[in-house]
Amino acid sequence: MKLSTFLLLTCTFTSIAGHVSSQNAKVTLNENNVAVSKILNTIESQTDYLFIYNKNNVNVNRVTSVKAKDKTVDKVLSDLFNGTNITYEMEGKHIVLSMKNNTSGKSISSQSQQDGKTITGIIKDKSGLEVIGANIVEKGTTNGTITDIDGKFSLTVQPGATLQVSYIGYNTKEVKVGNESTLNILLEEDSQALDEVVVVGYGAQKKVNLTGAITTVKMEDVVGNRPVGNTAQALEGAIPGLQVSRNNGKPGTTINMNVRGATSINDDTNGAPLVLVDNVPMDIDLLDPNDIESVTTLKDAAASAIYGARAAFGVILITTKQGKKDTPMRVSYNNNFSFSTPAALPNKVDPYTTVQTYANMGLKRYYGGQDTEQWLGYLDEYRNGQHKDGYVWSDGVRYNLAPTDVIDDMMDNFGFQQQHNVSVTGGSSKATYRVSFGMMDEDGILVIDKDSYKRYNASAFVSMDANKWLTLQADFRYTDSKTSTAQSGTSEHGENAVWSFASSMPSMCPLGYDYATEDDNELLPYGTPSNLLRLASPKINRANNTRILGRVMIKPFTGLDIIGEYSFNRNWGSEKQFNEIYKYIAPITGEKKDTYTNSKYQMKQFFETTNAINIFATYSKDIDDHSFSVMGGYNQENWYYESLKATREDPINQGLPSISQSTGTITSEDSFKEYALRSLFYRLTYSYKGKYLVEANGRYDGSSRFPKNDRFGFFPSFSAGWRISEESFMEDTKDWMNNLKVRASWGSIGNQNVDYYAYQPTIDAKNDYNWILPGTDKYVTTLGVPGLVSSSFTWETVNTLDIGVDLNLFNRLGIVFDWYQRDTKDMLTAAKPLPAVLGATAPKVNAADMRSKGWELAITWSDKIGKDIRYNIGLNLYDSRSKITKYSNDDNLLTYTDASDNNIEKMYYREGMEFGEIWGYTTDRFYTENDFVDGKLKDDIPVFLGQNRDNVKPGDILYKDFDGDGKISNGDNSENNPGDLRKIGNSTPRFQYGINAGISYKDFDLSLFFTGVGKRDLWISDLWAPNGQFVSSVFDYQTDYWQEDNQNAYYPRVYGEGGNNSYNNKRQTKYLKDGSYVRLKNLTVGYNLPADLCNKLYIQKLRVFFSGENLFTWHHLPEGYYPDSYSMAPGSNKVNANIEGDSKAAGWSYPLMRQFSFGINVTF
Amino acid sequence: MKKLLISFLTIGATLFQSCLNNDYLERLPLDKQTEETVFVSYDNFKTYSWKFYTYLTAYAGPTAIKGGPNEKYIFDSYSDNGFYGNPGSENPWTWPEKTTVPSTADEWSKPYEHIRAINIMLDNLDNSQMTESEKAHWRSLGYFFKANEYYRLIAHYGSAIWVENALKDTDTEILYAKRTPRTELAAKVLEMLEYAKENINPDGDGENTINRDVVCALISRYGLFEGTWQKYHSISDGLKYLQASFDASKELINAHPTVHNHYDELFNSEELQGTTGILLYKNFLSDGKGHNMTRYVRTSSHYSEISSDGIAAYLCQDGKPIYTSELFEGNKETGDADVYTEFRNRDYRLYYNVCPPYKVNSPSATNMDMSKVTFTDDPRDKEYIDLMAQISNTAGSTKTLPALQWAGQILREVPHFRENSYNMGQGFMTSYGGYYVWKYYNTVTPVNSAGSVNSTDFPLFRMGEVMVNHAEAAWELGQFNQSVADATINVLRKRAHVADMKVSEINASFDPKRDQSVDPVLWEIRRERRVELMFEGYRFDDLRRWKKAEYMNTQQFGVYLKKSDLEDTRHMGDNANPSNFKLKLDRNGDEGRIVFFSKPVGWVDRHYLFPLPSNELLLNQNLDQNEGYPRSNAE
Repeated sequence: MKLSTFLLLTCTFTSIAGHVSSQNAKVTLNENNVAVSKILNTIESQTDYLFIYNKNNVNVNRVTSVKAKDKTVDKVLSDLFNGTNITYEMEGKHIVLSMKNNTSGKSISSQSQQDGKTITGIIKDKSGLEVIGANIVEKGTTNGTITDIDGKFSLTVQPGATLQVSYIGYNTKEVKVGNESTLNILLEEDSQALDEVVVVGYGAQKKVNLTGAITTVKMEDVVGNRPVGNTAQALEGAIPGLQVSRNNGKPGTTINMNVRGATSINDDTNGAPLVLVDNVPMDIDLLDPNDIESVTTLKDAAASAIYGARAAFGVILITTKQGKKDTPMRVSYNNNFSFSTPAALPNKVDPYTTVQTYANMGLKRYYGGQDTEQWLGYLDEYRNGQHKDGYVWSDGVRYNLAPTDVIDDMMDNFGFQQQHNVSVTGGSSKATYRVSFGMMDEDGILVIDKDSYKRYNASAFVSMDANKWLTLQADFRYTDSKTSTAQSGTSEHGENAVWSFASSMPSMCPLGYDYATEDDNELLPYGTPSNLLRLASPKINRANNTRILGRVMIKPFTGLDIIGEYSFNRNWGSEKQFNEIYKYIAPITGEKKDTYTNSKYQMKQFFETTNAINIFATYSKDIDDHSFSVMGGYNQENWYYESLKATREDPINQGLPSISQSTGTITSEDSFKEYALRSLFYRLTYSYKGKYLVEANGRYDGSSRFPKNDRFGFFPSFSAGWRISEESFMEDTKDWMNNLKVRASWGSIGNQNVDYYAYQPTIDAKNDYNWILPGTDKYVTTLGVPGLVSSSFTWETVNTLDIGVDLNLFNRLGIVFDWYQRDTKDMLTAAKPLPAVLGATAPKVNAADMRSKGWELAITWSDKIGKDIRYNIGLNLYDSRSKITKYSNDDNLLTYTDASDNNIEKMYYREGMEFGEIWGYTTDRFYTENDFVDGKLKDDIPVFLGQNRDNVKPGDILYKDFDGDGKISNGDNSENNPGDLRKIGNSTPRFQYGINAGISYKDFDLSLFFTGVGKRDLWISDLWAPNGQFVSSVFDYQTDYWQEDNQNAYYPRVYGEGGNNSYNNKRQTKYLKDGSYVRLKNLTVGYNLPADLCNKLYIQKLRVFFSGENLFTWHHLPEGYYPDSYSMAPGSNKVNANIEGDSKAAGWSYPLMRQFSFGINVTF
Repeated sequence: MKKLLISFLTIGATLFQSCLNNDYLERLPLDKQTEETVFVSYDNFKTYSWKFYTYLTAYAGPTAIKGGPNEKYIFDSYSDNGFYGNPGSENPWTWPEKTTVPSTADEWSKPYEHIRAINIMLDNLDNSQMTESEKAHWRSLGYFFKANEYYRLIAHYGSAIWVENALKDTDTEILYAKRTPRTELAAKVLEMLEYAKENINPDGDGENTINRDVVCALISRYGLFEGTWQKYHSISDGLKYLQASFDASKELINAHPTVHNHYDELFNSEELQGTTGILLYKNFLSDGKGHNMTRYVRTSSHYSEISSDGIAAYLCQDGKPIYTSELFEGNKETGDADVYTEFRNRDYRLYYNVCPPYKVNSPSATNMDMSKVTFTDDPRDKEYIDLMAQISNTAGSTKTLPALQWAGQILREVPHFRENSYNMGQGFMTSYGGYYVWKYYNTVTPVNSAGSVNSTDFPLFRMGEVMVNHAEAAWELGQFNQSVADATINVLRKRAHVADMKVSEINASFDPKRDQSVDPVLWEIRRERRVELMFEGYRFDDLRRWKKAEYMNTQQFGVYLKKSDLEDTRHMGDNANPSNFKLKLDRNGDEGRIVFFSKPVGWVDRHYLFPLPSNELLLNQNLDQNEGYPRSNAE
């Protein structure tokens, strides 16, 4: 019998607080003729006590009877062991049993060691606390003992023996006994503790018993000391399969999350997973990461089926921090101060090169009236020291000469962000509490303080044991946030297109204020981004969230837990915008302009309310080696949204705009939305000897978004696991293989992510039809055209098969691998492309299928070198690809132009189509002089279909004529006959990864965190001058274009207007960019004040740190581009890099910030 | 046992269902309506029908689809009237290489979207709570708009699929139908219009709505189109349509015998309400509810130009063509004349449509101060400045010279060439050929840099068109005579300061440049139409219905000039070098007409109809492609 493994395994571990515990805990027992061990179990289940004893010499198999009603444990034990040779001692939560005749400590030699040496010692953990009940065994023998309540032990061993010291949750330690007779042994916590409990849907499970694809991270581990105020941002790269994308650096930007790639073509949320905070949905942006305990991602259907209809895109479970029982009050204070600068900016070429490019484009006169030759002359003179003013007036036209930097002009030296969080937590034997207050204040990089984000969080949690079977909990949360978005404030540049505008201003754009013409006397601001930002009112968004959660936990008898929850969530928000009128000078043309015709004030307010009820019960029972648990529950939820928007022109005082203080007509509109869900759910688990694990989940779900007869769906899942490492035949590997588990799951989930009222053809009153009746000043109010709606449609279902392996080796290495295949069936879509004669978008029916395949790998290693150096490294890597497997597009049509969506070219779905496909032409070469005879293109050289041969010039792009018909064309625009179009790439990010590494030496630590994408193609349509729009700024990477004396250029010939730009800019192979990248996301250096010093200062813990965020990005795009800012919606043929109306000139918007931060964490 | 279990489960499930699936899950839209609630009363129909009016396109041409300044059509750039002066923008219809089969086309799909919206209203008439005459009124209104959509489809494609009721995706018989033959479809269109004429409220639904007059105006337009098309394309004699057009026009002319006395005000008035001869117009307001045409004409991005052929169409004020008129001082053989001479003594409509030549001095290219403008020493430079001051509208601000760029910068001269060397630092309001088209130019409406602020109204149906329709239909029916001319053409000529047409005087030698296959009188009727409707988007359709698209094959030229006219510092800057003359002339030597595009490859007959989009042909194998086009570009 191996002493070490069986010593202590009668403990129970629980995650949900709910056990009665105190020094004077009372128990009620009524046991007849049972083993003592059974009685001890019962006491453990009714209290927080743990019994610690050596099975080998403390006889707990004695059969006896006990009757006790509301007796203290002390009394029960004293009765129980009265008259036996067993004695007990109580300390904290531990009750140590030992034999009476063992007088020195609790030494329990199983055999006499007359000739041995007696060792005494004390065992402590890293924090300096004594470890009670640790096992000490002489290696290779059954001779051993356990530590007493002071962590002390005494054991007689052979000289030269090795002691093995072990304790649950700690790494086993071996100590060679030398000459010394006292030992101080330090046990290190095992970071991969197998008994870790993770939160799963409506409950918690031991990690080792999981059979689904679930990843949990502790918030402390991922946030660390990074300057992230947003929970989603903290999760980037932390969880394999969870894609987090932040495509710009604007303060307060919402961050997109996605689990395991594309799930459905009806994915207007970009595959946003369901985020549940303590079981109820909440906007993740409104949470303070400091209030979060752990985040669990449920990835496969087995894990998420319990959330049914909303879980199709994965589930993220957030568990907030609570107080702990029997802990003194602790006050923690964390802060973080961060300075930010843009991580990268585009580089414009100098004024001379810019104007030279205009001239090369064939622009004799620039559109501000400047003669380009003359301009170059002035620039030459300016270089030689003339024209000190930086400009020249000639014939009423201003020639700007001085180099300027509008981007620099619009930015401060740095942005600043600060975060503070104070929390008070603690607990008595009956109650626990946690109160926290946090604030975050971010001021962006722009010259004005109009780009900012502020958030205040307050939360309070209390839990109270009303009696021993009833616990009541309440959780209150309040968040108030304000986002201010700087606007360019002119109708010309769009409301907030200031970044793209800045990138389009050439490098001699005048700055500041000046006169519009030579003899003008009105000093006006130039319409530079800096001036526009200073003069325009920002857009203000406020959000204000109140959330109340009440929970009742009942435990009528052992093994049964019933929980009832009600939560109320009210989110109120507003958006204010004001378009002011003022005059400015257009920087390029020198024209005086008004920002708007009329000033306009706009106010929108909305609120949304969620009411949710969860009632569920869990019953667990162990019979010999069989463990069962049954969970069943009911959920109902409704959501209601209401908004009102009012607009009025011409405020009397532009400095004080409001609806009531304006003179123009008021226009207003309102909207209402709601949905309701009602569901039953269950989970059954069974395990045999902890080796064979079986689980079934399911949900019967009804959603208001479907017609009455097709409203309910049943979504089951099954999973099984086999812990091979627990088999007896694996006994030999037990030393180094801590855990080996294979698991498999299958499940089916519904997707309710369709419009709220999609099944009802509705007609909407509209006043955006362009017709004005005589004598009125508004568009006529009319009614929209009802869409075509199929009379019956129902849930899309998502079936996932997942196979995974969990492996833990040497207590240091952890490997989790998952492979999955996900079939999305019956996707709602137009049954097939229908002839235009229909006159409407084809109605949606459950007609399309798709399949995604992917895998995820997470590897972690942690170890130490010597005594003081600890290090860890973790890698997670994942990949997925999605294909359409069923779609009625018999002719395999490729593209169409969506008139309802800005005439964007889109792709029809078709069977076999892979998500992210990029179709384009194959660049052959430039046309050269050799292709022409007497200025006429040779007949055998192909041109584009529809292109006039006479217009082709050397330096234009010649494409490969695959079908050899002498014309470059898209054939009949179908995959069957694509003409010269070919699939040239795929924009889906592949092989996404995160790497984190940390090392600590004594009280110092350093951590690094990288994220990246291994493979991706990007077609960036405006990389080079499209369609003659290239008329202002020139970037350094753009100057290598074809000219007579630069025929080996990278880019084709340039045109000022029209010309062949549209033919040269077809989607093609040569300018398809590699979108892969690696980013050093974070580097943190920290220092923890040593414990003894802390003690002297009367503090528990103090840490100071310095951290850098977004430090470097290695990528293949021109400087200033962000490879991760591009997204592509399923079915769109256009890569988007847009945010909130900002256009994407030069792929550029509010840049990602490089942040440097420092701060302290202190706990009293 | 198994049965028991199944029945137990079934009962259980049913119980669950009824328990759970109750009102809690019944969430109906709170701010939307449905067909049942919308189509009840007269006012419901009225509200629903307003959107049909937006199907009528302003600033795009009568059969065009897209809104906004669809300049290539409305400025007749695809015709013999002019061209689109931007490199690479040759008229694709005469450069056949450029005409390809599109994958999708708004010209095909938009009308069906509109027809569906109209059919939904028509389908709901019978179940409404209205009187029979009210129902007949709304049916008439629906028919009017439906007819107009089919007119567009016919104009583009010759024929299309008839859709009687609003379609569902299950109506495969119609979705995958063959096209309804042109004769059948065209007749249905006329039937609908005739029904509407008899049953619509004579006064419509208030001011500027579809009433009996507007229906007649569409019959006048459509009847002439279809009648002449069928006749000249040898489909039928077209008499039915011509007669309908003739009758409808006649009724209108009897009711509205006069026209507004100022041609230019039809296109450049802030308010057309109550203007004589305007049957229906599109009302625009400033501040986002306007259009961009006025601003556009006053910027650097206005590319539409008139050709010398278009200029030659305008008669002299004695009612004679330049080739025979005593008033024309240029070369009567060739029509060549310097611009001042060319513009002298012509139809006023020329001055309103094409900016006359002038020159002024101004202190800088960006000058906006009229007091700083001085005249040149050459009196000819001021000739048209004086004329325009005299013939512009009473407020004197619409079409006076010098012309002003949108922000108010004063244009120093016309012709003002786009070719870079010659624009004198003024990059706006240029042209390659030298003729600056300014039909929609005015200085009345707001033109700031914000979008959609120009608020001049656009005439959708006006008597000027009805009159030229009537004259032409009358000729085709053999009923054209002096009294018809007096009731139509001569009404328009009086307004344009051109002598009356005297039918008896028109003979084979009246216009020596006439297409010899066209009757001299018909030629003059067609000329009147061309001039009256210049740059309103009719010419391309007219040439096609007359089967005279070959007129577009002639090369198009700009102004006649001598190189030396431009060899001065004013045009070429201080380092003027005559050898740098950049404009191309149509002949060797130092003078001639400016050339922009080379001679077109030539019209091909398949272009009389548009190609059906290839996606549609793939989706519906019963659909036939128009003759001469492949079903797709792959063929």
